[in-house]
Amino acid sequence: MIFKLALKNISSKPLRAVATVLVIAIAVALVFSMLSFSDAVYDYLFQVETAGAGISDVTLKTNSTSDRITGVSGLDGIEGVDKVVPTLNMYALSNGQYLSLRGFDKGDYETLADIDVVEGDISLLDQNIDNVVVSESMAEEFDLKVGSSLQIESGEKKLTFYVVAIAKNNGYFLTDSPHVVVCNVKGVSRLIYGEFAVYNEIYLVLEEGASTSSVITEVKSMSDYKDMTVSESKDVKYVENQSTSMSAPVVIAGLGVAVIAIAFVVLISLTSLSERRKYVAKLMGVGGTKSQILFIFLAEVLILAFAGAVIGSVLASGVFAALLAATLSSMIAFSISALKLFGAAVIGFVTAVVAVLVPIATTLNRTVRANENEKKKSVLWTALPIALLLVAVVSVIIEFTAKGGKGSLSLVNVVLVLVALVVNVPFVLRGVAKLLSKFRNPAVQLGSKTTLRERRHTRLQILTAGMTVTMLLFMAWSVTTDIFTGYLTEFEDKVLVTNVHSTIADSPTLEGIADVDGVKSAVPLIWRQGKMVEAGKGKTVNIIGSEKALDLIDFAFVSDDKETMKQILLTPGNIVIDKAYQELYGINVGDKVTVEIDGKSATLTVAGITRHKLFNGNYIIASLDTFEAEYGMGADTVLVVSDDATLMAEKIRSEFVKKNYYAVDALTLYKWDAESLGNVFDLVGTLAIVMVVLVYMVLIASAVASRPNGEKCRTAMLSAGMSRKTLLSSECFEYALNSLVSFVTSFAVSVLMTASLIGALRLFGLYFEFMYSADVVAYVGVALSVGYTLIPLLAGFKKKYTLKRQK
Amino acid sequence: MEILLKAQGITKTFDTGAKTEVLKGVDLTVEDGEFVAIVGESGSGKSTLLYILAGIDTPTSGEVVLAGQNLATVSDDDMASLRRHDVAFVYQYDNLVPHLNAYENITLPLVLDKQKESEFKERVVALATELGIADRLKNYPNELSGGEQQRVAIARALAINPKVIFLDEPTGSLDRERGRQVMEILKEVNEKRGVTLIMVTHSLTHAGYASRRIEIEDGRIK
Repeated sequence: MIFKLALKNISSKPLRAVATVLVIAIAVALVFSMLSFSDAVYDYLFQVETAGAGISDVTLKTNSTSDRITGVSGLDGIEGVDKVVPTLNMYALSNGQYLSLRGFDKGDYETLADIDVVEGDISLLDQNIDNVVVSESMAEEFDLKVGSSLQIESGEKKLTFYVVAIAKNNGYFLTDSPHVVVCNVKGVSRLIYGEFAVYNEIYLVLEEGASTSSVITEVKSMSDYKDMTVSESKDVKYVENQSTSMSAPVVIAGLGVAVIAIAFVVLISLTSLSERRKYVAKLMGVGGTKSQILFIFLAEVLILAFAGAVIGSVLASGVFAALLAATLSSMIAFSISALKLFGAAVIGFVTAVVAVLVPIATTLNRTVRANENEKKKSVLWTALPIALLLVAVVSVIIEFTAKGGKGSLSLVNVVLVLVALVVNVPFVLRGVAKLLSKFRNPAVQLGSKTTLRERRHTRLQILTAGMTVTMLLFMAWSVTTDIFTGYLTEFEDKVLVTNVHSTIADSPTLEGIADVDGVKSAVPLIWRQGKMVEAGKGKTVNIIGSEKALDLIDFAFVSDDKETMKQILLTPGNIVIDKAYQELYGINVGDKVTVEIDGKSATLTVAGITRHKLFNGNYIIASLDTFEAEYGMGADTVLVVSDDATLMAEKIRSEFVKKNYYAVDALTLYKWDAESLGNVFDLVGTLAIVMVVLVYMVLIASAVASRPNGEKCRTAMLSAGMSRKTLLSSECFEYALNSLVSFVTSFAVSVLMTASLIGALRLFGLYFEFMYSADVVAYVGVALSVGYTLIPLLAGFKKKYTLKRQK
Repeated sequence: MEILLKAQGITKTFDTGAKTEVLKGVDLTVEDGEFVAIVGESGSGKSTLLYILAGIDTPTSGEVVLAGQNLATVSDDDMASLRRHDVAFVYQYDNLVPHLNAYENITLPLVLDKQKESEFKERVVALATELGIADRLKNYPNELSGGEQQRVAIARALAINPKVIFLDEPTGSLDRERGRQVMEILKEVNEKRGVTLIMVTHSLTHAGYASRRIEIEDGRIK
């Protein structure tokens, strides 16, 4: 029977119950997705990073792609080496498009990674060197089927290959840009020399427990491989950095929405606290014991929380799959961690139970009469908002003035400032209402006085919390999209020509590239990944090797002007770093840092500081001479600027067809990275929209559910001769007043929270300068304010204005 | 006659900015089977006294012994048991739980007392018939008139066969005819069932139904 009473409680307020269940469900789904997202991004990036090298541990590469070796003798004798997989990798053209050919020895095709065949027979690769395996996406784009022929050309040679199998886009084919073609090494070699085996990349799979560094040292000491670059196949640090950069905005935004959803559970519960207290009073009055009363509410909240947690858990896999498909690829296979799902469900469940039961528990120690008539708040409760405000102010001052204040304290302040705002905003509302209550207009006067009469302003608090977080999410979306658009604009006129010989920099015309019609400028450079080691921490960075890069990319010059920095870079051993390193690690001009590239380390001097919004600390710049002197490396890329990058890439391909250059416009080359980053930013926008829906849904549910509270007042007003129109105006005014106060306070606090949020990103190793988009914040605030003000009209409040007999 | 209720030195002070002493040392004894009417002007403290006597509110000082239990020292569970078995309370209005129908409201204390429906259903229906609300048992409070709501509240009070019912202006929200009907029912409850009634009223006519009248003036019994 007690359980039946709980069910009656739920069914009596269906809107409140539905809102509670949905909010718990959203919180559970988002908490789970955010708990899982970083790991999924890491796993995916790890797969991308290792798509070529597969399970191998050590990679040997010829320093120039035109260098080849004919044998792999001695490698299998090194202690700890389990398998040696020699390959010949090269770019070639088919129908004017680049293909990445990967030639393996017989039987080695799946030693590094499984080939997931959809159609055909992979064993046919061993029967004929003309046979190849392609990906599903390539088969679709080139209209290939098993048995189809494929013309591939390189330089002056043009050969016909035959598709024997089509594979899924995973393993070697994961990114598939350019499309990967797996074939026999002799088949590839025919495009260069003839039908014999030559190699340019060798992969070593080590025995379990074998030392990678020992194997690398031993390989380097072997004379046959002394001219090759020997390095670890997997750059775990790079994957970690990339996955942090990619997942941090989504995780922060998602957790923000989840936290607000959880806060809404608490606020929805508080909305009906007066009504619940009266119910408690009635139950106590007819002999209900404390445990019975608690059990009634416990049963009610257990039902709602259970429903929310179950729906949230079901939603979770869908939300998570959508997140991954939106940011990475719909091809990605993911597994649901039962532990994380359970953890998220428990968080949602426990929060809901605590949110409902704690206020109820406080009523049980009060007398029946005290529960019927709400008492004035105690001094402690009255002082709490002011105390919180003071703590927030002091904490913010420390964050922005103390050295090292940013980071963890910033994260604390994001929460603290929001909480301080939410608990203090009713005081602002009451102050404004007090002023406006002196106006003669009856609607304004009644609206203001009704506001003053209310003991709680839970809806105002929901609106303010929701508005502030929504403002931040939309602004983050807008700002990041702006930066991203700027990045696309900056690179849309650039072509990267790789596969060049390191001697190209010695030619004044860059072996003719600079003379191609339409080339505005052409710069030889090195564009590599490396590791900067500082204070024991290794950070993977892009290394741009050319002082002329300062002309080509839109840097902001922090320590000196551009020309001075170019001069500084000409001194061998000097580098220029991003301001992020100065902010995050305290590296300054004059400091020495260790930079590791392809297993070689050198100590370089920081000679200047620049800033680039999107690269954001993921680069260092040095001159070609520095690379030659410190690492023995020459140019590996030519960066070409022209009016039409796509056309220019095609022109270079056709004019230098014999040299087999790999010329691609920059946006195509980094298409996957750009799309992923763009999707991440769009996802923040999607979360902002989810937030708007959540806030509006909770506000409407709360507004409709609390209607009976003011019924007596409205009846009295109508009885006193107030027209229905004026009554509606007064209600609209009340809502508008709430909107106005929410808007003004949220707007002001959003500036502070943005600064703290940017500071909190340092915890993820990310540094951003202060960015704030007041117009976006204003649009979001106005839209939510108007939406809230219109609730009395949209919810049809006027229809229910009838004179009712007072019972 | 046995003494059912004994109150000694009851004071009550409210802190509403300034301290207001509503009751200034009330002593009162009520015997089993009495029908006591507490009368007085608005703000005299009569409702506050009733709440304290019924254990709905606590006094600032003084002691109340009700049905053998000292309300200052009684445990929460014993107080709840007292309300389920011996003591009932009827307010002026807003007595009922809005999301329970009339039948569920009447049987609420019995349900909380873990009684089986088969044991009380017949008795409750008979009680409702006696009070003229048998055909309204499935209706929710907002579907009942003020008089019907009061009769449901009285039915709920009687359903537990209490020793005493406290009533705070039970006819205050009713018209004269409905008020009279309710008072007739109460008188019958007192006379036929022997239930002690302690009622606050500002109506001298309704106070006339009681066997004893106590007048409160300025926080003291006059």
